[in-house]
Amino acid sequence: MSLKASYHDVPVEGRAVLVREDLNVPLKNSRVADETRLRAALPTLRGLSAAGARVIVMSHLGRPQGRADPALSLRPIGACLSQLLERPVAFAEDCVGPAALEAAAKLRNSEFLLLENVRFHAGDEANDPDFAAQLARLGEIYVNDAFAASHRAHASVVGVAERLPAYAGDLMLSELQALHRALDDPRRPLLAIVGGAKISTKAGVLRHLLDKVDRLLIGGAMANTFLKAEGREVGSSFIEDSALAEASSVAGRAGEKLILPLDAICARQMAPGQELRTFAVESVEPGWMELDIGPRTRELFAAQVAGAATVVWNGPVGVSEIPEFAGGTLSLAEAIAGSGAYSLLGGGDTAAAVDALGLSGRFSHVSTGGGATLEYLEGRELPGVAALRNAA
Amino acid sequence: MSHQRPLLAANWKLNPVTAEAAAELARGVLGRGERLSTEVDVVLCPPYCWLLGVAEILHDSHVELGAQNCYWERSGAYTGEVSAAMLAGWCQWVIVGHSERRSHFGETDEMVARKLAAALESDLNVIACVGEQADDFDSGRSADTVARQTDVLLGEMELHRLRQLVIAYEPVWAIGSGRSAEPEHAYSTMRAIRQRLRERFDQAATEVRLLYGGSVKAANVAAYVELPNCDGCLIGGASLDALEFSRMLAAVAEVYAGAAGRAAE
Repeated sequence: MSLKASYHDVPVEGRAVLVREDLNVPLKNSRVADETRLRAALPTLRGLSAAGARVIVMSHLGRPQGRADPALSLRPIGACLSQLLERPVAFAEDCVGPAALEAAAKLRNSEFLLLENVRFHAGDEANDPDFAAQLARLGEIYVNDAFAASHRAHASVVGVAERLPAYAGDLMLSELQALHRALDDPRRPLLAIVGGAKISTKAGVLRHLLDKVDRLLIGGAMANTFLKAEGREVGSSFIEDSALAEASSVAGRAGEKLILPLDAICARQMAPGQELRTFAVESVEPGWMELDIGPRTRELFAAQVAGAATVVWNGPVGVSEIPEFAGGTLSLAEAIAGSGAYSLLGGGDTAAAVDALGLSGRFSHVSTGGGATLEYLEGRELPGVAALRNAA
Repeated sequence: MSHQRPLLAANWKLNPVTAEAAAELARGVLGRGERLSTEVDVVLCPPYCWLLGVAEILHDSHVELGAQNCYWERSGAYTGEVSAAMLAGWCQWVIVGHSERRSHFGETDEMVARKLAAALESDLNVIACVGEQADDFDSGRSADTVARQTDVLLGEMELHRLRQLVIAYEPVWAIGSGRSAEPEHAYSTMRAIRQRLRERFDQAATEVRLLYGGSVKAANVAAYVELPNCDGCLIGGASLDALEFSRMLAAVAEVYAGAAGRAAE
């Protein structure tokens, strides 16, 4: 995929720049409960302000479904953003119409304006042309910094980009560059690790990665389905029977590239406080479920990681939300962090799982895209990214 | 290659009471959820009397329409009944054997099997419900019970009809109770259904989608659709709120974001 042009490439001084951020942060009692996403937006906002732009910021918050919902107002986020920027942030009660136009007209160079939640209008998610035109009227240049929202063809992501010169923000660029570096132009060997419960929810990811990688390591419950497809006994482990044929097909195409677990930490129930036993994958006894990769698998995976120059990791390799079954995911994270390989982690709830284990800082890049990252890992061009200008 | 798209079916039960409210609900779902209906199959099942009005609203959309019940005879002296053949003109789908039909209206496995056969014959897609009662659950017989129900339903099923079939597993003790089955329990019971299908139809069994039903809401829908062998959910009460239903739709779409599931767009 081609790289995208940055707002740094164009003069913005004195111009109204409409910026799409992902400020979808958790709120508690109308206060911001986690500032991570706001901090991630700061480089672009500061960069535009420093360059003398009039900075008009828009975002969604939650899913108000096309109706104004006071509980999902961006106003408290504006207050928090103002503290982080150490600058005033004006607020417009609506993201389009007179309130927005008047507030935008008052804005001077380097000042900030935050618009109310774009999803208070049904036109955003519907990518309604009139709504997109109303948003576009607010700015002369559009900057998309909301990678995590860019797999959805919404008006604030795609519609506006079709109406204004459209550039990538700093966060967007760092996500795209990391994904590009890991998948499109990797130092080899390139190793991918895919975990999670179901093959069917990641079939596109598996197929696409298979074409790109030198090694594909499978963990999590989906490994059981691969093992079962090879004819092994997997006890009472989660098996996706409807994906056995897909597992065989992936395994057949992968050949030597595919690496499956050798052993597993098992319990009789997927719950804390159970009796634990380690079984080789060919001899899991009936009644026992594979819930994490075992010690021999951890060694195998660590050795594979040690030989890789680039590692892409999606999905925990065990039931990492239960401490007894998080050991495999932790040891894999340690192996990656200590390997010196360029490491990219993300997609779905991977970032959240690794964050919960306190490991986020250990990787070259943790992609925050969730569904957007998964779609990139499938080789799909994200609509919001496709709409941006290519780098010269 | 059978890569099933996830399915969310809304069973409105005996709701809403007026045509206006039914139309409003259908329009609400369409307005909020139509975009995602290119990634997740969506079926709305209103009461019989609102089918026509809702059909007009859903016309030209990806959202499909289903009835909640049908009768197996095509026509004749069966006062009060509506046949599968009649529904086929309005709907793409029908639910048969819902636990409320079984418990309040005396439907047996055999009656449900006849309804299923008639609906398939009328080229309807069918959501056939199975599920265990509280005493089966308490005595650990859930998997056996639903496997036996599945056997009866499958009856003389022809192979080429399998693609019309969806089986919904509803732990009866969980329906409308606010209790829901632990995902692990749902998994093991649905696996028993899947294995029954495989024993009978081998690889073709993967064409049948399995749904979970029973106190599913936006807050827990992802935990069920992340389960192996669960391809979606049959939603009861929570489907009467267009906002809540569209939130479920969004949650399911995110779980399947890596599934290359937009082929049908």
